[in-house]
Amino acid sequence: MVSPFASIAEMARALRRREVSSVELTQRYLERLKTLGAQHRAVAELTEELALKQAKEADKKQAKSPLHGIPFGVKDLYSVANLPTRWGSPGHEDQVFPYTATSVQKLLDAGGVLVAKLEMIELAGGGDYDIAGASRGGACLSAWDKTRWAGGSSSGSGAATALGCVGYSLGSETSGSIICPSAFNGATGFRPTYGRVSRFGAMALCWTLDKVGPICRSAEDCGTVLQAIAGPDPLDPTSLTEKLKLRPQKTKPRIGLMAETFTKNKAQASEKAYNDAIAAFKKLGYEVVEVKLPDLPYGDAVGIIVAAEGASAHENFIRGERFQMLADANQVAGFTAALAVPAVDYLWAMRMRSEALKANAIWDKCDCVFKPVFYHGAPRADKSLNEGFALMGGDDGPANLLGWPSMAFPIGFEEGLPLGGQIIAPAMREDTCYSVALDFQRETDFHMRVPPGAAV
Amino acid sequence: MSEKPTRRTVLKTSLAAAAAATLTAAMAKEITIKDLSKGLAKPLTPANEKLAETALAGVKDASVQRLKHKLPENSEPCMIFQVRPGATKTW
Repeated sequence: MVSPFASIAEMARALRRREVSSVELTQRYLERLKTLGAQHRAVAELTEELALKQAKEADKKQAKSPLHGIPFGVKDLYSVANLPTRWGSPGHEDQVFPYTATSVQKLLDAGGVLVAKLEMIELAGGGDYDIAGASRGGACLSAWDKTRWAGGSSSGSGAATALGCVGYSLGSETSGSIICPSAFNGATGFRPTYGRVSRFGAMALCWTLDKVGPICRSAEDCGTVLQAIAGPDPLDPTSLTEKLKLRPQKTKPRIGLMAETFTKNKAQASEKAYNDAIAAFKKLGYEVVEVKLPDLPYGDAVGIIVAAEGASAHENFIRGERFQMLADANQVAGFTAALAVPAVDYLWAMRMRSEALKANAIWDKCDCVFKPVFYHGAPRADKSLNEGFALMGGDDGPANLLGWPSMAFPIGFEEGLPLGGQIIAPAMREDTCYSVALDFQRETDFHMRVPPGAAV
Repeated sequence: MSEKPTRRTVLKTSLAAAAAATLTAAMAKEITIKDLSKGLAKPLTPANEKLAETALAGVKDASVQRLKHKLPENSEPCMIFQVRPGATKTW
């Protein structure tokens, strides 16, 4: 029997050779979702009946895609026709859409089997949440330690994938929501260029920042899934028409390194993991150079955009009867206050975005940037996240503001908790993120480690 | 009838514009959670109201902080969301 931690290529091969059927794979993942997935509060909705039907169909048909017959899960932010789509919010318990998100439909068209909708931070955390339990399902727990948070807002996608409860999953990111749960669960997540994947059918938090991307167990898997979901969509006018090319480059990209503050953040384990990763890159023949971004208030601009667009996107709900059902009172407070963001502030942020284009000068010196995702492993699930993130650091650059892609992957451990690194590349250059991460994972085995308690 | 505005019309229009500007500025400056709460289906609970006061202070602080970064004259907002390839023009 193929391992629940097998790669997409391994599962596809086993299916092709009839060593396993899609129904068997599906049953196995459903079983793990019901046990491990539930224990970690990663599951929003099991789609058992639908999944078994899809798996039976897949077993009857010839595979036309590497994803054929492979079970997957999606963040509960994606609509799937006639299934609940609750956006992680207790105030959206009975929400059902009659259509399926384009990204999910593409996976289904590729022969994928949808086994679950996965838990997430309510409304993708747009109201500035402060507790891990800011979700209708309660705090989603890290695959590596049930006292720790799985990260957000694609919490269930990160945890379920790392726990071997799905073959792979879809997450989404406005500002950190793929990269963060990937790091806290030891998964590999791919935030593509803004517009690379259609946003149609995905809950909007910020129309100008939201990205759809996969969370998998390896860079290779992320590439396979991204290839399947990328592409233009008439239903999303911001989707890109340019073809995604992930073929590794002939020359190795130059890796840019920024000044880090490990000592200030008491991050010795992270410093070691970071330095070891750089040593691995050098061993693989990569050139590394020091780079610096223009000093601009990127974070301030992101904060204003998230507040203004989030309040507008969810205004009906905010002004509705169920608003105060949100699990985190900070979200109620944040969304209410966001109604008062002045138009001039929003337009300042959008003008800052034009100004931030200066940051593209960094790509004259390097082809990608390598950074720790955070300086520490997952914070405690029972404490204030503001406290838990006090020494976390994180990317405060222009990457999300400018739609740059990033791939996050495990680079080490701190007291049994995974630490993530990320490769950020210029817009449209997912191939750079992919090839560097792929190389790193050929040289290291952090992405192959199985969380305690999840082993078969 | 002449299309040229009379001095009285000009004065009236100017006064109205000035009053509107002052009112808008005052509203933006002094908006409170109680004002915002009026637009909600249910009044905020006392606990939520307290947190919302803090959150609103954050919104107001962001309005002040952003002024520390003066944008160039004639700069434009990035209103075309589709990214474009190229070294310096991705938007």
